[in-house]
Amino acid sequence: MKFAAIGLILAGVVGIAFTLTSSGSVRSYVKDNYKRAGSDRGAELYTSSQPPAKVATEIAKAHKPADRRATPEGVFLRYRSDYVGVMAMGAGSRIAVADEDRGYGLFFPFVGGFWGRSSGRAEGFRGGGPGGGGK
Amino acid sequence: MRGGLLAVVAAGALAVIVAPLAQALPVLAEADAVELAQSLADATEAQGVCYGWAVRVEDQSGGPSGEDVGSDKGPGVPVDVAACARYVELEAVINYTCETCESEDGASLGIDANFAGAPTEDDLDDLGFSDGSLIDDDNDTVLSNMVGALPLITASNGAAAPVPALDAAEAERPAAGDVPTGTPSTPDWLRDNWLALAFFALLLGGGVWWLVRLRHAEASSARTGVSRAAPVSHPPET
Repeated sequence: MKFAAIGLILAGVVGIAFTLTSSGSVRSYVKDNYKRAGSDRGAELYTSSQPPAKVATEIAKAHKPADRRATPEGVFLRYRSDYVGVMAMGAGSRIAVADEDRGYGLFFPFVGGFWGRSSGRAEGFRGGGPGGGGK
Repeated sequence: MRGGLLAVVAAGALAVIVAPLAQALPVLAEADAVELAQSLADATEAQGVCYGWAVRVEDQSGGPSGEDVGSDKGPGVPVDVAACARYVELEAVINYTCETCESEDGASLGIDANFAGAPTEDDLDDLGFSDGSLIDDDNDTVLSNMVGALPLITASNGAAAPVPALDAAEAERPAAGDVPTGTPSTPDWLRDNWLALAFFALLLGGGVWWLVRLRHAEASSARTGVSRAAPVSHPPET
């Protein structure tokens, strides 16, 4: 009986230690799973042959974001100190990882007014160009 | 006669007060609806697909009810399914029950589209947007994300070209003093692992509790054994 109780304690300690040491950051996950493609204004860039919705889903499943924003141009994931933006690049994706301040500036057209102070809103509806969606 | 006149005046006043409320969008603020419709217009231009949303809100607790409708043609304008060769419309119903009602708040979500490879509810769910989140306090953001994701999913499914992002040189920059707010307080490692950590903490706590109980039981039985083994002292006979 005593050995079983000690076994439970050991399992708990080892489990907690393993969970804490094996849990990487979203930054390291992106680095390990996508192809490095340089940097842009302080953000690390990566590419994938998969489309943005699939890549964003993969990253969010591996590391759950605190918040997320979807727009027609891309998906943006917010972590405690990192922003991840996944946007289309041809048939694949371009992934940008930046710290909070740089990420806010970089992704401002998409996250402004949602993750920051600015309203970032359009002043009025101006519509689209000719020919979109018509029969 | 005078009572009838008062009733007409009261009804008129009520209509003046209620009419603007009924016309207001019950989920999105006007600026959000304009921004969303504009992003859809840009997507329609790039992809040749019409996009829109139609959300019916039924609030039995007295909040704003009505329909929140919009499309690439503007806020308040539904998708013209007759005029669009390809269209995608997000349709949802949000039910807020009264406070004394037994039933709970709920929402349902559907997507009406007319081409293969169009977004589905499962696609939205994969991106982390489910119908249940439409009853959250921030359901305006949820709706904006769901509708905004439609052109992205259409492109990801190979049914249309991706919507091009603005060039870095043209992209709007934050104004001076505009900084990120609402930084998440929960560490990323805790958000990722809280379930595993809770499980192992339970094992650890359970093991400690069990060991302490065993020690108590041992000490108690040892005391009982000592008292049984101890010789009974009798007072000396006089």
